[in-house]
Amino acid sequence: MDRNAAAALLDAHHAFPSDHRFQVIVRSSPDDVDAVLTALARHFLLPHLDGRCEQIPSRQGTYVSLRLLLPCESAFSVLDTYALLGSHPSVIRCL
Amino acid sequence: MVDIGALLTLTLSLSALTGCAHRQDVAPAPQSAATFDAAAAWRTQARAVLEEGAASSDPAVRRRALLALLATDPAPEAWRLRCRWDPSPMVQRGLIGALADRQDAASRDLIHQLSAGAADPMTRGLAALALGPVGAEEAAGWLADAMGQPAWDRPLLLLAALRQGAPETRTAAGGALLEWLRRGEYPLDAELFLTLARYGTPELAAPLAEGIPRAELEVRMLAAATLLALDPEIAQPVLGGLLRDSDADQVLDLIDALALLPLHPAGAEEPTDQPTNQATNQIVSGWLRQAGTTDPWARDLSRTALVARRELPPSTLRALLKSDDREMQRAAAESIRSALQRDPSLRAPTLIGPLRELLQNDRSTTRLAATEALGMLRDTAPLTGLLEDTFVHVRIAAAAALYRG
Repeated sequence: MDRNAAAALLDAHHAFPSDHRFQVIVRSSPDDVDAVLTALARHFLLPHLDGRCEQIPSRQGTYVSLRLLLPCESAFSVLDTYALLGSHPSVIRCL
Repeated sequence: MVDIGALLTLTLSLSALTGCAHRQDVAPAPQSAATFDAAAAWRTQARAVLEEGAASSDPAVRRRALLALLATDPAPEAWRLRCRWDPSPMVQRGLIGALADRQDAASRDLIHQLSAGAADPMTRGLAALALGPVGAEEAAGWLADAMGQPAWDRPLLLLAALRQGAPETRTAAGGALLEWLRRGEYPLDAELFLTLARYGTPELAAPLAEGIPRAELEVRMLAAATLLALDPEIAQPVLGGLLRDSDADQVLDLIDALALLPLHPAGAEEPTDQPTNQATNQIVSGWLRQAGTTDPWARDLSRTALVARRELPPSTLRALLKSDDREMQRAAAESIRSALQRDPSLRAPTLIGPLRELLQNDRSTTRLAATEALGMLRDTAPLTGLLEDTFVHVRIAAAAALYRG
């Protein structure tokens, strides 16, 4: 029910397919960053996320902010991406 | 300065989200005095800008536009639902903030829904804290929820359980929260600290003081400011030590944090006569006096914090709005905006001219603060040109002011 309500509102106000922005904060170890980017590339059936991800490190380099522009086919694709990011063990914050 | 907003959750600053774009292609304001028709036309255009923002694929833009519509539309229910079902935690958290001080049943029901059903644990925790009194069983559920999450997602659910649980729930939640604070592995999340400063208890101060030296630089001063709200006595030496070793960026972080920090002491209900957190303000005032003898830059910056905290009148900052120092201009404009947000009845006619000049500033965050301040002063005519500003957050802020009228 929740998922359908969210999808209906997204469908009413966004055209699909379209690129959507996502922002997450992860630990800056290469393993953590790679794990998130690999999971997303697999989810979107993309060979890589080159040109779709901007990485901004924190001042001491402990964390990195990933700003992503991802091609969503439908409202459910947006919801699935938030679900993937929100439950990914390397993601500290999904905004 | 590396803007703290580059990594935090939007609250402190938005400049790093899009960079500091130069303003271009700004439409001219109408030449004649606004007639009813002209005002209606601008209002229609403003509404269109807000609706376009509400449909943005960027959650930071959506949040700003949706919250503006929620605050200004005579029929806000549709916007509440849009926020409630938005997939971004950033938008849902904004809704909680907008509803938290309302006492009506619909707001409470929506916050209750989010405390139980939001996908993001921090959003559930924020909603739980905003909910007001609940039964012990519900608070025990928050504790169980928290302990099932990764450590960085736990603190607000733990704080909610600590505030409202039965004794055994409070003991368990308090122990886990104190341990989490001691470790200092704080996520880069401004809303987390502002929430701790609003709903925290003095017992959190000592473990937070232990954790602060290990905190990432972006949140270290924010955590120290939070400590001030929790327990000024514990905070004073910690803050003193941090300031001795700080660079200009960290001093600016502290000023930003002090400006945003709640005016009332942590855990207290905000009274209607708006007394401030005197201890915090006394510390800032002391710093002002001390800095004034040695460092005019620090003196001016601390003055901006005191204006934001309503200890000094906004007109105090008139000269700083015209400063050659662009960071000082930004801090002054943001401080005036904060003071006006805290007391919309404030009037500052001598500031209108300098604020209007800042609408041409090449820094997007300075333009944004000036736009919002002028909107709150109901000086909206100069904002029409900003509906086509290059920075989307400025466009939406101008639209919100023009739509509100």
